[in-house]
Amino acid sequence: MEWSSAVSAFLASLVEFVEALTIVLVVGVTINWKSALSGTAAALLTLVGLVAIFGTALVTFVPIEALRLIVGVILVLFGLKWLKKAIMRYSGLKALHDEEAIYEEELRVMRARGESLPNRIDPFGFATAFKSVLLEGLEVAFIVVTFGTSAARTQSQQTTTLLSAAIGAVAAALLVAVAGLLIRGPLTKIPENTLKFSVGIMLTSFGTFWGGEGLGIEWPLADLFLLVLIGIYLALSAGLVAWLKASGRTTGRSAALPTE
Amino acid sequence: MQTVTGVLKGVFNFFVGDWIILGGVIFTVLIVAVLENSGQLQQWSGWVLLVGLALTLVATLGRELRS
Repeated sequence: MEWSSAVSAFLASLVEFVEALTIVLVVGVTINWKSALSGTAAALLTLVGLVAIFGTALVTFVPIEALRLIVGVILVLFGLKWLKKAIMRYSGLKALHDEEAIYEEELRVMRARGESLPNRIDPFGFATAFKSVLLEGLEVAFIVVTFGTSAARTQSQQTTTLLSAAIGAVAAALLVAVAGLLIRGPLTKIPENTLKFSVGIMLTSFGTFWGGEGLGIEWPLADLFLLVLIGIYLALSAGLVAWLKASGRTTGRSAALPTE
Repeated sequence: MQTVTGVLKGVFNFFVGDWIILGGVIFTVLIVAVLENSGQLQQWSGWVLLVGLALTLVATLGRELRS
């Protein structure tokens, strides 16, 4: 066991797994767990397939920058759509009697009665979980390959260092999975629109971060800049809710929602 | 032809469903890509990306307010 490779890979992978877990959790809580987990499983299978085919040459053959840009842009598109709807609900701009609102009201009543939610695979939930887990999983694979190969002083030592880095990454995955199981319960108690608003903020922030990296932007503070992005989008959304509420009053449009 | 249009509409609705968001995001990404390759203005590209996306959100909400 090469401890320096294992610890470095553990710490670096932990950050990536936490990012993937955030998206999987919000999909699981807001849409359903079947979509979140099937998206995750499909991404893991794809990842295993890629690693099996390319091995350590993965770093050379998979265009990670292009992948970051594509996933980032798609997440921003999803995120802005969700954020827009949540802001409209908070400001009362979104009408009560649209099909979506009625469907959500039904879900809320079902939850209140303790009935289970429709458990079919939702394409949006599946795709969101799939893309996020695949991208973060690839980054972990890159970390393992980079740390594992760079720590080896000789060719014969490389198997040990690679294996140690892989063990570090697996330990990080297990730790994050356990944390996810513990957080899952309390998350379900958060009101519906607050959760949807959080999803919009998360998807937009992660999308901006990954899309920016794909375009070549080097964010200050590295992965910690995600927290800055979340703060910026939260402040912007709060300002937009206040603006829409004030404009709604001036134009006489009713403030109907939220019902929570 | 109708099938192709239907498929394209389905893909559009699945990913975004809003022309202002789609146009704003694509325009912002193109501007940032140009800045990233310009060299001199590269340091501002992160903020341009953020401002572009923020303006896109403001524009789509503004449209909803007016409609």
